[in-house]
Amino acid sequence: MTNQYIKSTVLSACLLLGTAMNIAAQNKSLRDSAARDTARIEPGRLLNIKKINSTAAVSSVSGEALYQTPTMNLTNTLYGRLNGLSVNLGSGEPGYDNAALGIRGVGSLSSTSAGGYNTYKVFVDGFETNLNYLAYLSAAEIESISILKDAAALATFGMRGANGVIYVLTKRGKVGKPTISFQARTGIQKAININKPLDAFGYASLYNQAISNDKGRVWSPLYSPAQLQGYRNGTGTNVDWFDKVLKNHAPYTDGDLSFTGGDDNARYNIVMDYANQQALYNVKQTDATSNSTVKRYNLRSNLDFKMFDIFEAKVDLGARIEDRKAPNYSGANLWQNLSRYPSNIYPVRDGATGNYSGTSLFPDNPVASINSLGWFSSHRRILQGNFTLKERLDELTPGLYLSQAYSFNSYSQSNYSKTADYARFFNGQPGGPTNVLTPLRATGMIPGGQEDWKQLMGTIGYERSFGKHQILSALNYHQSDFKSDGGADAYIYRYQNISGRANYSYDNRYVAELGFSYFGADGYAPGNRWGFYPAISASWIVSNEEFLKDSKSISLLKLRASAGKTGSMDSETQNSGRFLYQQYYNNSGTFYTGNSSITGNSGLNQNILANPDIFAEQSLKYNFGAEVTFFKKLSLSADVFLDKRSGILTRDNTITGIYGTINSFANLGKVTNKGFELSANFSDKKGDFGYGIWGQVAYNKNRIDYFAEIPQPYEYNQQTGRSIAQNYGLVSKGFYQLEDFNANGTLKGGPVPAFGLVQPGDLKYQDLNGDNIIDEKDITSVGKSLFPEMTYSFGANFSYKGFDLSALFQGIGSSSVNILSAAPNQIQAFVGNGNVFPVAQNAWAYYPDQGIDTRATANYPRLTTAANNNNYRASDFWVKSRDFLRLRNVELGYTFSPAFVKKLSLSNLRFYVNAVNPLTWSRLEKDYGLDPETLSAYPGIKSFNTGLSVTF
Amino acid sequence: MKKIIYFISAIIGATGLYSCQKEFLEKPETTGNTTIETVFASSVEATKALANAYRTSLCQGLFDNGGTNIGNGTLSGISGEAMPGESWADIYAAYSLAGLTSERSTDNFANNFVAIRRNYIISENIDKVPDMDGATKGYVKAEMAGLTAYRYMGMFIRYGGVPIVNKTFISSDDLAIPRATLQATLDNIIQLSDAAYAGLPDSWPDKSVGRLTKGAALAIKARALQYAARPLFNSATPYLSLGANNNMICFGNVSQQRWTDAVTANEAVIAWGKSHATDIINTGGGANTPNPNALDDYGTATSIPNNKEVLLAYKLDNNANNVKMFKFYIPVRGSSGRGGTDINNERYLTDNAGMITNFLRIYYKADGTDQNWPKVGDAARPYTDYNTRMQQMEPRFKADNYAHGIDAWNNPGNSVWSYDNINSGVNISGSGKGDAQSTKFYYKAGTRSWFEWPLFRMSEFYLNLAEAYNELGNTAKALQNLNIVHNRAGLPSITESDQSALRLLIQREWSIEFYKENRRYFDVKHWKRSDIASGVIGGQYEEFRFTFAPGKSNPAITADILSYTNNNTLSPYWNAKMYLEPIPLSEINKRILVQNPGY
Repeated sequence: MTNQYIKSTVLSACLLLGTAMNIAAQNKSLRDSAARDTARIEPGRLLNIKKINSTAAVSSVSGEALYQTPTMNLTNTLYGRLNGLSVNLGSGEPGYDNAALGIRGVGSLSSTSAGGYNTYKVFVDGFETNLNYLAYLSAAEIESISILKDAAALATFGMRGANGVIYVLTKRGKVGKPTISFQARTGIQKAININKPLDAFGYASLYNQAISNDKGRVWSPLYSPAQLQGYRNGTGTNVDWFDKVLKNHAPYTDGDLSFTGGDDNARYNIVMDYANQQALYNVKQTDATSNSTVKRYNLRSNLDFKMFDIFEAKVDLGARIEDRKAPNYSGANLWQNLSRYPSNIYPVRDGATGNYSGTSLFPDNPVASINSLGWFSSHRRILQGNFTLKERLDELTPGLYLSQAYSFNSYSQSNYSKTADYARFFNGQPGGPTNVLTPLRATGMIPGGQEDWKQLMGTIGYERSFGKHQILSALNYHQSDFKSDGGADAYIYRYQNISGRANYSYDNRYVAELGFSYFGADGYAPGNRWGFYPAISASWIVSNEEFLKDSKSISLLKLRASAGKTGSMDSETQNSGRFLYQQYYNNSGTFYTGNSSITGNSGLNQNILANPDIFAEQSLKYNFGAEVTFFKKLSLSADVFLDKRSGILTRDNTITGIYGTINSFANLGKVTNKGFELSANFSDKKGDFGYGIWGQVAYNKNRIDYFAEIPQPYEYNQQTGRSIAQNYGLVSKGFYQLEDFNANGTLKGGPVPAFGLVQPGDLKYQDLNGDNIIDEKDITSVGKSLFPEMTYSFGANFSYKGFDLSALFQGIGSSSVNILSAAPNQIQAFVGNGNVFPVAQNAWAYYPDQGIDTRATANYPRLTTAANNNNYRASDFWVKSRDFLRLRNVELGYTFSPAFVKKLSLSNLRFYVNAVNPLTWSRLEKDYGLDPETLSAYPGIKSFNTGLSVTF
Repeated sequence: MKKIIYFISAIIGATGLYSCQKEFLEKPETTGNTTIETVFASSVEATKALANAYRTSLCQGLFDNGGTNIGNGTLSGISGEAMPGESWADIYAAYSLAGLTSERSTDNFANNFVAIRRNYIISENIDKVPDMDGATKGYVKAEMAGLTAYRYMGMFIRYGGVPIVNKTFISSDDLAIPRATLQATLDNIIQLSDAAYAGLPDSWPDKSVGRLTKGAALAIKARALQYAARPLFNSATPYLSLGANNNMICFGNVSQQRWTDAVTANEAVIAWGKSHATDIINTGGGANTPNPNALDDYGTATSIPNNKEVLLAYKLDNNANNVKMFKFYIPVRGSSGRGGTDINNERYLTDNAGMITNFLRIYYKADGTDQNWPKVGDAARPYTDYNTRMQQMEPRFKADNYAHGIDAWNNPGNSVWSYDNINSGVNISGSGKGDAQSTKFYYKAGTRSWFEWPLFRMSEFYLNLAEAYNELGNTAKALQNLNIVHNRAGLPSITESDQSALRLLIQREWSIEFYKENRRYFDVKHWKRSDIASGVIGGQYEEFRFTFAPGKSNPAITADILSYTNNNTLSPYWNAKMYLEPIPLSEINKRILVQNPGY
């Protein structure tokens, strides 16, 4: 026993050094892999570790749970399902509806442009992929999605690990008789929230106020009472552009067919899936016009073979076609026009000629934009092929195996469009834009981008148990070669990763694990390309100790802890700082010379200053977790984490301007991110009545420790010491009132704003430094950061006989958004020939002769038709809480009794109805008409669906 | 079993072969990357770096390549020439609201040093180029000295004393370089421009015209010395106190020697010009004779590429790349559908940048007398009065502007430039359309996209001399030089002999001659005009407003316009701190540089 113990220790050590090829031992190997698949295995790299023995912080959700949300985009199924993952609903435009995702908050400065979201990496079946591949996988082909959160889970990922990993496993065949199942569902999709501007009457009334405010607050209306009356009684032009362009709802359909089965020697799981989604645009499908639509065809074939008791092979093919089609007008511009074009500018069609209306100020008639410009389509083909061969070398030494795996992932897009144009008219005359009626013309199929990704892995592993000892270990070599269309410096990305894990457990009570990655990236200087990332972790399964083993009340109690290092190659520097070790010159500008004719001399300019020391940023992660289950009914888990970042690639802002270049970068930045995750789950069954309730909450808070900030005059101006993506602005204190001004319009006293002359009704700000001037020196942190500090969800499910009912709520807390910059068209009234929304209805105004006096009740600064630098700038007046709670999913289903189903020669039959995002509670929506997740452009989508699933 | 082991070995071997490529992590094959070694390894590449240096250096204050910190407008909009343009534009705020602040200036301070760095990179590395001859290398070094002098000259005028940089910094250098004194900054400009003069050629081959010549080096020096002599700097006390650092913004004494130095430098430019076919264009008149071809001569001097009056120009071909600059100057609305070219569609930013009445009054009538324009509050005059008076204006007005209802004078007979085509409407209730709108730089341009911004035009040096001689009490010389410019414009000679009165007439000539050429914004400050806060940079602006005949609204139909009045419009901000530009707060906060007073 002792002898064997020593042997196995030596063996595993040797394995980690990669040299153990012919050491013999004689204990029986672990159960075969097919049997292991059925055990509860924690998703993770290299090793199949039972959940109970895991030392890592991982959250997982099954494909079945994700299927509950009928949406084509997988990222939109993740709300509230994975504790520690923040999901923000994006645009609902078919085909462009990725949700923003973030694991455990924001850890790095290098990710502020997307508000801290989308820094994760994606691995599918062990190979790295990207969002393009992940987003349109079908839930039907997914076994589970996990997020890997702590150092133990991320130990083998090296420079890919620092911001967390989304780890996807696809469905594999199960031993058994062939099973065919069919699922289909259909529904309607509606906008969660549409914020409509005021009608022509509202617009004109407020415009009169705005223009009067601009003319020295003398009542000087542009719209006469007769015109106003006309808007009111319907004789004036009053177009509800949203109404004309959008329809109430749009259809959604998907269906999939799965085949699974096999025996010990060959197993298969094949999924075919089709989905179709249309946009809310009110436009017909014709040769010349198209709604915005996306169609998706997925095919996945995962095969497992076993040969000669030695070889195990996996052949996985995941193929997909995505067809998108949309009106030939930028969706972003269309939604901007819908918001910006006032109701009274012109009728949809010019009365005299019947042509579409259009003027030079409002050239793109929204109705014509979707009906008269033709359409654009893209065709995407995606294929991932993975091949794995494993050799069990029990002949050499039991438990020893080798495996080789290759993955090819190819993505390409081509575009095709038919375009047309239309003449714009106004009052019977050409309206200003010089566009002319152009008949429909087709373009050829043209390339729209491609990627290919080749990966290779070689593994040597050893898995044995000796009495109470169990060892699982593997050493892996991973090489990744990614090519895409891109700039000269950016189209090839390569890395090599030698990683390993060894998990040792004793008596299912004590578990210790070592992991490491030795990771090399191509973007850094020779001699500076490799980083070493070790991790150590342990868990103690207290409930397996003698004193708890027979406890009735505590069925599980486990504690775990991990610490380790990971890295990240990402940065907001150009090309993430790749090849920054060399000094580059780029083409820049043209200088013209010439006497009799002019010649352009193209320029070359020094790029970002070379820095040979540039390297990946590093993250030190610490995690402590506890899991407990009472009475086998109530389970609780808790994790606390600390993530210390350093070496973040940051612009050195402290360098003086006389250096002559501000493009000087180094690994300077430091950030601390910490937080916790809690979850609770209770389920029980009383006779035919089963029920469960659950809830989870994740909290994260970060702090910039250092980022070479431009020195600030005051501590409160600084961003150092505050959160990443924190909102900054002035602190407002109401409006200037008439009493604040002298007769000649100058301020009576108090601080003078440096942003322009103010008048009654303008925003008043606090002079934080007391210099009697309101300027940039009075800016401080206001509100919170965009990325929520808290994400929570809760839900319940009930079953009674054949019926089942479930609900999922999700919300966020401690998040702010600057609505002025996030939704400028809806917030800034009139400016830049814009529109006016209900938010400005109660603007400060005082025209006693007109019966207008909102001085006491105003909640919006005085209106203006011109830009206003005083009012429309970041301040706490515009930075608003984004907190909300949403009912994400509610579903009612009925499963027919086995007896009935059998009569139909089926094995299972279920019908259901469900609703996605039907209800929202949000102050932002209530007070400002803005959806807290999708503030502008194409709205987020709610849907009502019905479906069935049949298993033959 | 053996077979299987062979097979496994083969697989492992294949995997190993594939993965053990040593160069896997080496930088992948790429194209188009140029490193400092390759830039200076061939004259073709080095010349590209040179082109970039030129572009970066010469765009100071121009709307191209980040040349300024105020977007979407021109300096005309804040110097009392014209309205500031669209109300959402940055320049509108700078001018009409709160003036300049440490976060809003007309210059991008750091870009000056970006340009200087680029120049030094070239002069320090040009000797490495193997296929370039020694003479050319000598020229390049002199050009880089000249461009650096040009940038320092611009900074001198804008900020006063600035840090002196004389090499390409590396990160280990001590970068805590404080601002130099005004005198040291001037000395640096003179030293650099002298070095440039010594090394530069007198002319370039046809295709390289546009690079610095000896004449340009002399011009840089002359302009710097002219500003050094003007009262803002040539003073015992600064405009606002900077305490111990007063010598950064003021010479600390009044010295006539500075005017004498200016005379020498300006005479040198003119002498060089006369011997190198570069001089003011006057095809019709002799001394003290009004030039009958004034419209053509002045129009040619300001607009036609490579005319003999322009010593150095910033050349642009707007067709070739969509540069921002012309958006702010091109006045034509025409488009492909209306007889013009597509590029002209970009004109929208100039719609609300019309001339203000305050500036209109500065112009002479063609006979050299003042025009009688309505004052604010005067009764409305019929449109015909406006039309008649506009037709009476001097040729320079007609070369630089079109008036409402009148086809552009500077492209006679060209339908692209007809009022119908180019007008953006007249003022009815709003403001910005002005009394007239600019057509400058487009004399007989038709649809030409070749645009040249004159950086040095010879009439500058005659006016410099007029100003300097007047300050030195040499009235005869002052009048002689002034009238060279005044007569060229078709106007009868000026004979004023009172020094103060003549000073104002010289300044008036400056204002007219260089309308829209980015000069007045600096001139009025360096002259310390007493009226700077009353209608020049600050104070009340005036603008004509028109009325249509009842039921009419088409500004293109002259007969529909009924009458006009002069009205108060914007009242921009002025504060003495604005005599010089602020250094950005972000630089001040690094605690190396001293901020100019008041910011």
